[in-house]
Amino acid sequence: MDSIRLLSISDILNISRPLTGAASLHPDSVCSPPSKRCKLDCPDEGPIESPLFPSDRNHNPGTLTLCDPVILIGTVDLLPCDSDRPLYCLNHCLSFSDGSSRVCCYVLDFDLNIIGRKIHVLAWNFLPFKHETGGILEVVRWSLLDLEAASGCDSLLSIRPVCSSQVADLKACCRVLGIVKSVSPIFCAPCRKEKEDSQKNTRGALVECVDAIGFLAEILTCGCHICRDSRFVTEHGCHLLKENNCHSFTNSELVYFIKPTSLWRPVLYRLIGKLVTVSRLKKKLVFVGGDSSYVMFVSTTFTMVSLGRLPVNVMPVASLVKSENSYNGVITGIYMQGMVIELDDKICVLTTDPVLALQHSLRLGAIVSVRNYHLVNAKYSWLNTFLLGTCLKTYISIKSFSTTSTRQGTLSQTTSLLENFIDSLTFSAKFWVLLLVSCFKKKFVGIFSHKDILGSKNKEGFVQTYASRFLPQSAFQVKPGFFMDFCKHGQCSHRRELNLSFLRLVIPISNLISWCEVKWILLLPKKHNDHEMLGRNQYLNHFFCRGTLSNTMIRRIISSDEVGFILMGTFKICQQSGTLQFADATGSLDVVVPDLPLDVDFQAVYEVKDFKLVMEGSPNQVDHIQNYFDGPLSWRAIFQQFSHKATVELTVYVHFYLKDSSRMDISSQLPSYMNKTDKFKCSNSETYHLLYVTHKFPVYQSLHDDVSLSNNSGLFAEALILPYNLVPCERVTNKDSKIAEVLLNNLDEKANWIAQLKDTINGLSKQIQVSTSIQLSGPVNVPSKDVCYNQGDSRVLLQFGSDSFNKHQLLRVGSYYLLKCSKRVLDYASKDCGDRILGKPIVISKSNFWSLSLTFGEYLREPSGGDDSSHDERINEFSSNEDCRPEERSLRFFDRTHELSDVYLHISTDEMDLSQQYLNSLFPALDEIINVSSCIQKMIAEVPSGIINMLTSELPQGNQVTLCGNIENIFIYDCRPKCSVSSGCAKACKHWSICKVCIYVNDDHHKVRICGSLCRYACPVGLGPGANATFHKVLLTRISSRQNELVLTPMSFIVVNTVKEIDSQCNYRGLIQESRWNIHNDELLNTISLGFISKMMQCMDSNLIRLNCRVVGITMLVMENQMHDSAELRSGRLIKIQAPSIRVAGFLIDDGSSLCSCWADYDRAETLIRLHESTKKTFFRSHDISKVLRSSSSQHTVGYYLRKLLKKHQRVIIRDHGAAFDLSCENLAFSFDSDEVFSNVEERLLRFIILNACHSSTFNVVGNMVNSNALFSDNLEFFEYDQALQSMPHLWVKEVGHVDPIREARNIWNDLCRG
Amino acid sequence: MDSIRMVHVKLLAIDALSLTVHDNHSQSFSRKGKLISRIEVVGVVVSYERKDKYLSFLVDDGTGCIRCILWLNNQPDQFRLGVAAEMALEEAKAVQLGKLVRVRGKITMYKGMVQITVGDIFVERDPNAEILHWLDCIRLAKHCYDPPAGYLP
Repeated sequence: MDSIRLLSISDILNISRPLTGAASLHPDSVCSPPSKRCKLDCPDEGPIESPLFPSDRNHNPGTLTLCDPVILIGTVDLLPCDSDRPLYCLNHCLSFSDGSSRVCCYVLDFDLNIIGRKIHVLAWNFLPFKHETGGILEVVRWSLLDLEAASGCDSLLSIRPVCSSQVADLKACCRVLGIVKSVSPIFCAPCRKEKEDSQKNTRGALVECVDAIGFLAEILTCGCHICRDSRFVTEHGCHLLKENNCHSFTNSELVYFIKPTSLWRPVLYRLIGKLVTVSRLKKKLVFVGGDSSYVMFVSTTFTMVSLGRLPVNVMPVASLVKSENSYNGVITGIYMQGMVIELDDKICVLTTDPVLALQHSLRLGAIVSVRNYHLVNAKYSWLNTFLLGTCLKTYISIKSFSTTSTRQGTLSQTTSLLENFIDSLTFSAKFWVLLLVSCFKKKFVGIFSHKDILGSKNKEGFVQTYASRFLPQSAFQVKPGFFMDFCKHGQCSHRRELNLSFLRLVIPISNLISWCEVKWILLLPKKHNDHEMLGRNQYLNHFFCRGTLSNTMIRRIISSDEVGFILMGTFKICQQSGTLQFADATGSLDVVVPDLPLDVDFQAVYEVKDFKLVMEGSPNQVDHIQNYFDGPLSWRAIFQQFSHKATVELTVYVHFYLKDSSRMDISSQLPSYMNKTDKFKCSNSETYHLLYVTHKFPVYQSLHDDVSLSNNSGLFAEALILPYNLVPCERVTNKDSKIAEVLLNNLDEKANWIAQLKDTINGLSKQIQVSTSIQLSGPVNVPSKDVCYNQGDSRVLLQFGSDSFNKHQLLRVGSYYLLKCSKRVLDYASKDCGDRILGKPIVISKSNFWSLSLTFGEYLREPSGGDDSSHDERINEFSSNEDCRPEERSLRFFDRTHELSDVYLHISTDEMDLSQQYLNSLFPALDEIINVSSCIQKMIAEVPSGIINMLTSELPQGNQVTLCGNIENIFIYDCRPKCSVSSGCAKACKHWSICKVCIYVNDDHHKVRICGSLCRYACPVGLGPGANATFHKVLLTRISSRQNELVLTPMSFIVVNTVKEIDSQCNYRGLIQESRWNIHNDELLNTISLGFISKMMQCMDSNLIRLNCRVVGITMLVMENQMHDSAELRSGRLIKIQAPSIRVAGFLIDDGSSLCSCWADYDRAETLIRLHESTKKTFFRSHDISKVLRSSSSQHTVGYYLRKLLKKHQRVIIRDHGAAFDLSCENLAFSFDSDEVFSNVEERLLRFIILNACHSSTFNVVGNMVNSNALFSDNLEFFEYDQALQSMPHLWVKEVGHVDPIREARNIWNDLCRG
Repeated sequence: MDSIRMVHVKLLAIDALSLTVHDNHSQSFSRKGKLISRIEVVGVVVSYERKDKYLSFLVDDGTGCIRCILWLNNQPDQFRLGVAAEMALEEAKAVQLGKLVRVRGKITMYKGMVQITVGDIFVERDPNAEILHWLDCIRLAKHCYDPPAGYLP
C-alpha cells in the first residue's frame, strides 16, 4: 500500500480546482494515519506538483481526481458566530478547519459525535466557490481520530462547557424529548419582550425590541405518562426512554432556537427523523402578530442537544413518523437558480425559498431524498406534470454526492420584486411564472436588457407585468412570514392547487419549430410510412420534369386553441426568402398576416394569442423516429438553452390577424420605438397622390448577396395614379367640400394600453380633408383652385429602394396607397403635380408611402377593434371542430375585408355615387382575373403571337393572363444552386434561389399547367397543393406549333389566396389523373361534336365519337394491385405508382338514345367508376370497412379502400352477366387470385363500388367503335356467355371528362338552330 | 328490337305526363308509338314526403311536375348485403326542397298518374344542368324519339 499523503485545506484552496480524493479505493480498508506529515505541509515547499494528479490532465475536464491516496485531517464544527458566510451557508454548512484554513463542509454520514472533533477525511470532494474564496468540502467517508474515539464523550451540542451547568438559569429547566420532524431556516423576527420580564431577567438572551435571529424546530414528543412525567428535570435527564410499549410520538412541540443557538441549524437539520433530547429550555408564550399565541420552548445559552436512544421494543424512528412522504432520486437538472430541481428526468422539485434549496451539495448527479413535500399536479394545456412543492418543513437530504464538478451559481442576496412575486404564488402558478421567465429571457436576450425583462428591486420587470395580467387573484397566497408560516403550516398557506390550465406558454420560436416537427411525426398516420405507398424516388423522370415530384405533400392546420401557446416576437422580412417572419432571439418563423398594414412597426413586440399553425411537408421523409419524445415543451427544453436541429424537412408558418394581436408595452425599454419616421403625419405643405397598385414585380435577384443595391434594388411595382390628391384640411378653404376624413389607424387604437402612444400620433388624429375631382362631372361646386387633379391614364412604375424592401414585400396588388408629392409648393392651377413622370420610375423611400383604405357610403363605424361581424365571419372561416373534415380546414391569406391600413379614407354618401363611379371606371384597367375554364377557352381560341424557342435567348412572346385557381400539384425540378428538393413545398428547401417548376392549377373540372422559373422571392408562403392562388401576368405562349402553354416569367407574381388542409390522398388522386387532364385531352373532349349511341353504328370504326352518357351497369371489372405504369405512356416516359390498376372494365352506358357496351382501362375506367371521388357516404362510417381495411380516417376516396382490398387479394374480377338484361347490378360474380378469405365487408365494398358507379352523373366520353371479336380475342368465353352484350355496339373509351353544362348547352343550341 | 325500350329516355315533365299506357298490366308505356319503360328527368324538388318505406317527391322542370317515388325497403337487396338499401337512404337524404336533381327510373302508374319509380337520384350542382337537359330532350326527341317526318303509326 502506498503511503497516504496528508493534504491541508490551504493546499486544496491553492489548487483552486474541483478535486476529489480518497485514502483508499477500497471502502472497507482500514487506513492507518500517515506516519509523518506530507512535505506539502511544509511552508518552504512549492505548490503541489504533478505527481498528485493523473498524467493526462485532460482526462476529465470536470473534477480532478488525485491519483495518490490522500487524507485530510481537521475539525468539523459549526460555523463561527462571526462567519461572513451568507445565510444559506449558515443554514446548511458545517465548517472544516485544519488550522491552515476553514472551508464549508457537508458530511454524508452525519453523526452528532463529529461536531467539535478531529476527524480523518477518508474520501472527499472539494469544490471551490466560483466567485469568492473558499469552497465546499464534501466528506464522503470519515473516521474519528483514534484519540477522539477513545475519549468516549457523549455526543452533545451546547454553547457552554457541560461542567458549567451548575450556574444554569433555574428557569431553563424544561426538556423536550422527541423526534425532530422539521426545522425552519434561520430567520430574523422583530421581537419585543414584556418590560417587567425584561427587568427581572437580566441574564436573558432576549433584549427588548431587538430582532431575534433564530430558527424553529418541530419536535414530535411522546404523550405517554412516563414521558410526560419526566419532562421537567433540572439536571441531566435520562436520555433513555424507559422500556414501555405505549410510546407514541404524536405531540408536536415547537422549539425556538434563538441566537446564539441559531448556529445549530445545520446540525438540527441533519438530525431530522432522529430522537433527540433538548434540555435546559424555557417555556414561553409567544404572541405573533398580536392575535396568535403559541406555547413554545425557547433556547437559552445553557441549552443542550443530545441524541436519545430508543428502547429495544419501540418501533424504529423512521416508521414513527407516519405522515411523511418521501421521494428519492438523482438530480438531473437544476434550473432558475435552484428554484427548480429536476429529479430522475421526470419530476421537478419546486422550492419555495431558494435559501432552502441552495445547499452547496445539491448538484447535478447527487442522489437526494425529499421529505415532507406537497405533491402538485401542474396541469396546463401543453404540459401535465407532477411537482414536488417544498415548504418550510420540507427536508432535502443528500444521500450521495455528485461525482461531477458542476456547481451552483450563487444567489444574489437582494430580493427583487420578481422573486417576491414568485414567492407569493401557489405552486402551479409559480411553475408557470418560472417557465415564463425562462421563455422571456430566451426570447428577448439581446433585444432587451436582463433588468428590463426581470425587473429590479424597485422596478417591475416585463415578465412580472405580463404574468400579472393572466394570474387570477386566487393564484396568489398570503405569506405570513417565517414564524407564522412554520407555526400555522398546513392551515392556510398551502391550500388546494387551483386549476390553471388556461395559462398558456409564451413559447420560444425555436421550441415551437421543434414542437411542430414532433407533432408532425405524431400526426402522420402510419400509412404514410409504408414504403409501398408512394416512394418519392419512384417519380423521377416524369415527362419533361427532371427531378423530384412533390406528390405527397400534406398540409395540416392547427389552431392555437389546440396547442395552448402564445406567440410573442417582432416582425421582420427575411432577406433570404423575402417572406414576412415573426422572430425572437431564438429563431424566426414565416407568418401570414392578411391584415398587415404597410407601416407595421418592425421594432414593436407583438403578442399573438389567436393563430393557426400550418405545417407542410412530405410524409415520406419521416422514415426514422428519433429521440423526439424528450419534447421541446419539456421544462428542460424551456429552462435550458434549447437548440433546434431540423430533423425533418417541414415548412411551418403561422397565420393570424394583426387585429387579434396586441402590441406589447415595452416603450420604456426601447426609446427609439416612438420615433418612427414613416408614420403618417399631416403637414400643411404636403400633398399626397392616390395610387392603386396594379402589379408587383417579384424580386429576381438575391438581395443579401449584394448590399450595394441602394439605388437600384430591382424592386418594382406598377400602379395607377388616381385623379385624386389628398390635401390636409387647413388648405381647403371651402368647408362644404369636406367629403372624407382620415380615421385613426385602428392598429394604434387597439393597443390602447400604450397610453403615451396616442400623444405622439396626434398628427394622425386630426381630420384631414380630401379634395377630389368631383367637378369632373360638373355638379358639385368646388372651386377648381382647391382641387388637384391628375389626368386620365397614369400608369407609373414605382421603384423601391433597398431600404424599402419591407414595404415592397408588404405591398398588395389591388390596394390603394398614398404617396407624398415631393414638390413642396403645388401649383393648383396646374393639371399635373409634376411628380408623375411617365416612363421613369418613382422612387419610393421609406417615409413617403402609406397604405390607404377607401370606404364609401354610410359611415358605419370606425374600422377598429370592435368589428364584431367581421370577427364572426372569421370564426366561421376556420372551424377547429374535430369532426371537421380535413379538406374543410382552410385559411384565407388575402383578406381585404379585414385589412388594416395606415390611413382610412371615408367618402360620404353624398359624394359616393360620383366618386365610386369614377373609381370603378378605372378598374377595367386592371388585369382581368380569369378562372381555369376561361383560361382553357382562351388557350384554344387565341393564337399567341409567338412561339418560345427554348434554345435561344429571345424574350418569349405571347399574351399576358392573370389566372386564379386551385393548385393541384407542383413539380419542382432543376433547382439552382444545386440542391435536393425533396419536399412537397419549395419553401422547405433552404438553399435555392431559382428553380423550374410546373404547377397544375384546376377549377372544378378543368386543369391547366403553368411552367417556368420561379425565384425564391416570388414563391409565396403556402404555395403548394391545396392552395388557391392567383397567378398575375402569366404568359400565354406557344411552345410548339400545336400546343399553347402558360409560362411563368420574371414579371409573373403569385399570390396565395387560401390554403386548405390536405391529406396525401388528394395528391394521390391528382397524380393518377394528371396524365389525363392536360390541355390536349381537354381539347379532345371539347372539339368533337356530340353524337348519339343510336347513330354510332353508322360511324366508321376509326372515327372518334363523343357522347354525353351515364353508366347504367358494369359488365366486367378486372382490377389488379400492381405498378401503375400507364400514366405517362403518351410522353414515352414511365411513371410508376403502386395503385389499384383497372386492367379493363366493361360498362353499359346510356345516353338517352340507346345503350352501348363501352370498354375502358386504367385511369379512364377509374373516372367512370368514380374511384377518385372522396366519399361522404355514411356507408364507410357505419360499417367496419374502415376497421377491417385499417383506415384511420373516414374520409377517403373509394380508390383508397380498393387499394387496401387489392393489397390483400392481388387481383379481383367482377362480372355481371345480368347487367345487359335488367340493369340491376344484382348478379355479380367475384373471383380472386389470392387464397385469402373474401369477407362480407369486402363484398359490400365491391358492391358499393359497382352501385356507386351506376349512380353517377353524366360523363363526357370520347371513344371509337371497336369490333367485339377483336376486343375479346383473349377472353372469348366471357363474351360468348353474354349474348345480350353481343348485340350491342362497343365503344373503346379514349377519354373521359365531366360535362360542362353551359358549354354543352350552347353547342346543342347552336346545332338545333342550324337545324 | 326497339332500341329505346331499355334506355332512360330523357323527357320533359309535360311529355312524360302525357305518355300513353300501352299495357296496363305490364305497366309499359309508349310515346308516339315507341315503347318506353325508363325515363330521366331533371328538375327542382318542390315537395317531398318521407315515410318509413318510401320517399315521395315532386320534380318540377318548368314544364310540369312529375311525382317520383324512391322505395327504401328494397327486398331483393338482402342478397346484396343491404348496399342498395343504404344507397337509397343516402340518396333520400340528399333530396331536399329546392335542389336540382337528375332522376332516373322506371315509369309506373299510380292513381291514374304517371310517376317515376326511382332508380337513382343525382343532385346537380350546376344550375345549367337543367338547361342542358331541356336542350338534350329537344335534341333527342328530334333525332331519336320522334318518328321521322311522314311516319304514320
